[in-house]
Amino acid sequence: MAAAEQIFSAGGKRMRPALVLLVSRATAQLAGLKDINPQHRRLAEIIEMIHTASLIHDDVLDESDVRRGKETIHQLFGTRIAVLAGDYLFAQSSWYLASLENMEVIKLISQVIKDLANGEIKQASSLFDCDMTLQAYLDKSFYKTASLIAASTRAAAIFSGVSSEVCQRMFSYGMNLGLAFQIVDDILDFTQSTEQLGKPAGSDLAKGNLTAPVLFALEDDQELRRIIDTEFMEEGSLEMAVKLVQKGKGIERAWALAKQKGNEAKSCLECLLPGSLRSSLEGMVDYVLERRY
Amino acid sequence: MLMAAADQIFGASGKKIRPALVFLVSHATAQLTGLSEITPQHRKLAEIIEMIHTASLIHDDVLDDSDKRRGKETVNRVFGTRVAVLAGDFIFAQTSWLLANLENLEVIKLISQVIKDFASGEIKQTTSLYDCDITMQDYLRKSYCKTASLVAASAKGAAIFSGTSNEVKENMYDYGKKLGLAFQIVDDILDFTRSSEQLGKPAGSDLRKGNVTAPVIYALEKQPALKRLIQTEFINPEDLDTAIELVHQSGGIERARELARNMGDSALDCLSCLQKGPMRSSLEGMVDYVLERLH
Repeated sequence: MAAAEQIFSAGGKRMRPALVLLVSRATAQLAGLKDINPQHRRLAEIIEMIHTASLIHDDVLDESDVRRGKETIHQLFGTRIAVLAGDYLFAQSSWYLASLENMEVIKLISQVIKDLANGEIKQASSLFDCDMTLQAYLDKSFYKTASLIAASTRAAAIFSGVSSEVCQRMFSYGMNLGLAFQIVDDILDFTQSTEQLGKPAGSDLAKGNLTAPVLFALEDDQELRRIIDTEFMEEGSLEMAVKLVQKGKGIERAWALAKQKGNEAKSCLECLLPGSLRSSLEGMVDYVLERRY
Repeated sequence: MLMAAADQIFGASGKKIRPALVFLVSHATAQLTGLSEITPQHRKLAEIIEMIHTASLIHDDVLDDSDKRRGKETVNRVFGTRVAVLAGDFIFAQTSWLLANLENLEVIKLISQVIKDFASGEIKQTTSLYDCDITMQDYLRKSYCKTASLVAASAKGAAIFSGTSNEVKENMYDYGKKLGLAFQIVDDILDFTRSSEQLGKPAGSDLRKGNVTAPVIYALEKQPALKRLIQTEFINPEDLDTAIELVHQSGGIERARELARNMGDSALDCLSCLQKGPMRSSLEGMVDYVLERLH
């Protein structure tokens, strides 16, 4: 319980449940419903639980990577609780999902949980791989981040009872928003200072996780490729690589890609009624693209 | 690497009791409802159950930091914590998805409850390590969550896919639950009575970790000295051996055996709704098999 309080009361942005509630309201409006229903609210909770559970396990995966050999009691205790807490949250969300008794939504969200695991695996198996394509990066970003968001916005539409076309649009909205979000996240890992991030810049790169800015930069920069191939064995090579990415066109092109996804997301909103809800959903895209932290 | 991890755990010699049980109950209940044979859903259920079981073992080994499982090294020992957590997550996710695609709400809810129970049971166990005030009730509840819940749900699931009456579904659930509890109690007894080679992992390992099981709960009633040894977490090198000896001397193991037998008899009672024949006999045989492991 202490672990649960720790993670849930920490300053998360709660973006995902906010999104679910917004899409719930917007599609309910479209369907002529007076208000959103209990399933909508439950869906928002479930999505945040799944997201939190995946974060908890991600931290375990990252920690274990850094240490080799026997862990300290403290670290072992931390890992145990983390694995357990993550499992418990996944289990709880699974159960709440089943209790919603909607076959389509159950299948949709089950796919997400599969995608989350898949995304982790894809990332782990392509570390330091300079031949990784942009498509592979987008696929991985979909599995790790956008899938959950896309499924949640689609599910919200399903619970409003709108047409399958609108459900599909809401899926695309969530997907493109999620991709934009991930790309921006990856850019910020290079553009923010240590103080803002709370950790050294280039932490993705340090682990061999090659993201959009790097992939773009690699197209023109042989030196960058060489350094990455060494897996930053040489001292100062990581800092050098970060500088190379920052100086080249990689970040600029990544921003362009993020904006493109953002625009695609916005275009999916055209099926909704103009008004404050639709504006808020457009605003979500702006929020994602304007993030500085 | 994930495939190698999968080979490590699936290739090891697990008993595959759970899927066998699903098949037996599937056949027995199909017979009851007049189906000529078992359905694809029955088969898929058996696969799902074994996957869930395996995924939970992988995570358990991470939590326990265990070295051996099914006579081989654990996934976490060979590939590290990271791959083990990922492998467990991946398998759980796959089962979630396979389950959803069976498109049976009742079974989905049933199995989702199991996964919740697993996590719950693990938490209960973790928070009551070295706790000598644990009651038999607590122990049975914990054993239900960790072991019997899955067996119960798989038996009931098989009945659901055969389309039996609610009464039969509940009987199958109870059968599975009692069989599962008997299985766990026997497992806990064997941790005291068997050698390392036979178990596939070190003897007395439950006690060493502070996991207080049936034989110990009974022993604590007769041997107050045992309490101190457990509460001090076997701080002296010879404490664990002394504790194991005390458990043997107290008659705790014999009382646990009796508990297991009673549980087994109770399981047999649940089978009376099934038609007499080889299927029902096999299910009765399952109970015997579980209890015979004691010898």
